[in-house]
Amino acid sequence: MFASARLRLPHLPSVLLTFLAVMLIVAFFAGIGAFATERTKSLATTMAIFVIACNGLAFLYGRSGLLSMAHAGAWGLGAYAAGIASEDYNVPMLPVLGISLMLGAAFGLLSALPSLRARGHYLLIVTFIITVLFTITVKNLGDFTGAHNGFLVLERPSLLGWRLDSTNEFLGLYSSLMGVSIIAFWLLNRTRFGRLLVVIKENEDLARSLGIATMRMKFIAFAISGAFAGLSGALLTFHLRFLAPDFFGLDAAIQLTLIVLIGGAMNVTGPFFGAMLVVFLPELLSFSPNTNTGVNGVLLIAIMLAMPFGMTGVVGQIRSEGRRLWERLRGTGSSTLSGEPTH
Amino acid sequence: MTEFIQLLFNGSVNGALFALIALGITLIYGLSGLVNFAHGQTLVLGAYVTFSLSEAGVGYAPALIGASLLCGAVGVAMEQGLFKWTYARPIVGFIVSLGLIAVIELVVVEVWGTDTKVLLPPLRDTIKVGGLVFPSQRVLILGISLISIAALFVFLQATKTGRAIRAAAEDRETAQLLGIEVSKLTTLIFFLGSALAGLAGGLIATLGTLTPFLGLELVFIGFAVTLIGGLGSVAGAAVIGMMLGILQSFMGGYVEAGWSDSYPFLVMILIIMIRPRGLFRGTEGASIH
Repeated sequence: MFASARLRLPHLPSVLLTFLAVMLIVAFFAGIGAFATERTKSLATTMAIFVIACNGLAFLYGRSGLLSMAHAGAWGLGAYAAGIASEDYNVPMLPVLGISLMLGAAFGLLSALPSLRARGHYLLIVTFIITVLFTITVKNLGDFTGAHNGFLVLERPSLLGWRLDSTNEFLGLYSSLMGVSIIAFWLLNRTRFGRLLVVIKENEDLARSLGIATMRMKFIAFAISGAFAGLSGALLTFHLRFLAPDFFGLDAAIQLTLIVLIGGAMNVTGPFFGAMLVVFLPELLSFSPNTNTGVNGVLLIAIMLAMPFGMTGVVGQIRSEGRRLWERLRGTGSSTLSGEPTH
Repeated sequence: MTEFIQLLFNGSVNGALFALIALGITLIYGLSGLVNFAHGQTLVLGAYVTFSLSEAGVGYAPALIGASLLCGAVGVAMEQGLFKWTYARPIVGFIVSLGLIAVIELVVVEVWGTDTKVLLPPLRDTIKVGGLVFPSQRVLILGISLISIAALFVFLQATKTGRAIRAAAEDRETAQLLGIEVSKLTTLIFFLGSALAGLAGGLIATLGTLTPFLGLELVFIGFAVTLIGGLGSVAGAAVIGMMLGILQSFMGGYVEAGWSDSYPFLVMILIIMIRPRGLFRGTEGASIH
């Protein structure tokens, strides 16, 4: 017990790993911007959009332990709001991003309501249903949302006079915003609020008995998470220039969750690596779309059984395994029970 | 009045099918604590197998039985091969079942293709009573569903194995201490639940066109039923299934058809907010982190 504090492996490796990850991210996007084909650039832009949305989900799940499938609904609301505002009301891009972010947060708040009462699987399924209700609503709003026919966005976005025309400009803007969102995610984890959320995850009753307003904190966490999704949705609209209700249904909810869980929610680079795998692996394998989905499924099952804390969780797993081995060699006995990352 | 009875009948047919789907979900959850999202894909598999067996000239009844048995076997394979290893962390089981959705979908697409299939109902006449029209096939579906549900209840209430299953669902550890082999029962329940999904699939196949992707929507109706009834509650699944089917039919007939998909879900959210464990005494949702 006492020995474990002394024996904790130095933090230097994890600092180095984080630095390495950041360098890798920058090099990845710079490399694609400089050398890759138009198709790859477009995929990398899509990936940046996924990373922004998934950062929100990873914050919510990694900190508070609440997995919200309503995230896809917040994503869709941000996307449709951006489409309608810029196409029908000619709102410029910057305010549109703000509107989508706010609406995403509002949707997050709304989807937090069932968490007042429901727990565990009940909450999980209820949040799934919220996403289903979102798509049903979009399908029933006629010309306002384009219903089943989808919504076309012809307007070219321009940010403070800068017109986004080329794939490189999109890639540059989107990857920068992605960087900002990763930093925001990192900062959020380190605020007092972010650390208190973990207390709720570990023991909500205890947190409440210590005078922590757990309900209010859950609501705020949902809102923050939704804000990421809303912003990401708006970016998706400008990139795709076409929206359909089924982009934001059950499949999207599953897709976003996959990215977070494959990458790992406990590390700020988790969504990045998760999105990289989910977006680029099908491209590398280049099967038919259906086979791709199937292969994704096999991959997901394999990853979840082998690495229950995702790709970035492996570092923590190895570290705690290593510590356990070290302690066994020293004969000090282990106090760690699982491969759960310790940060 | 004619319209009322007609809507009631149509709703009952759908409701009985909802109940079949929900019973499988709730049985599996009761013993394993797993919410199996791939349940809908098992159903799709059952529908396609029924279709192929019927095409091959086997009668509808043997095709239905064959599909149920095959789906039951698939359920056992999923439990033994995958889910058995995830019971310690329910979130992993949940994610594995999401992965299985894609895998089973791929198998169905590879074997049967993506184009829609139509399985002609074995009974094509109608029963006319007064001004009412009851298609025989729908009457048959209602009958088979109700008989299966009744048989399941008798099994759970009156047999030794059934009582052991209920005991294990109530309290896994104590049941184990009393000498009940819970892990074997869990495998059995995966067989039963998945066979029910296969049966529901075979019945649904005759009601419209078949696509590989119809599972996800149906499984969510199953979830709505299960949650309103209470996860793990068998009576809840049966009763609420029928009620939701009838509600959907009435709302679609009298109020507004475009939104009719949303009614079961709205009811579900409302009820979960008032009674977080469903109307019938359901189990506490397992912690999922």
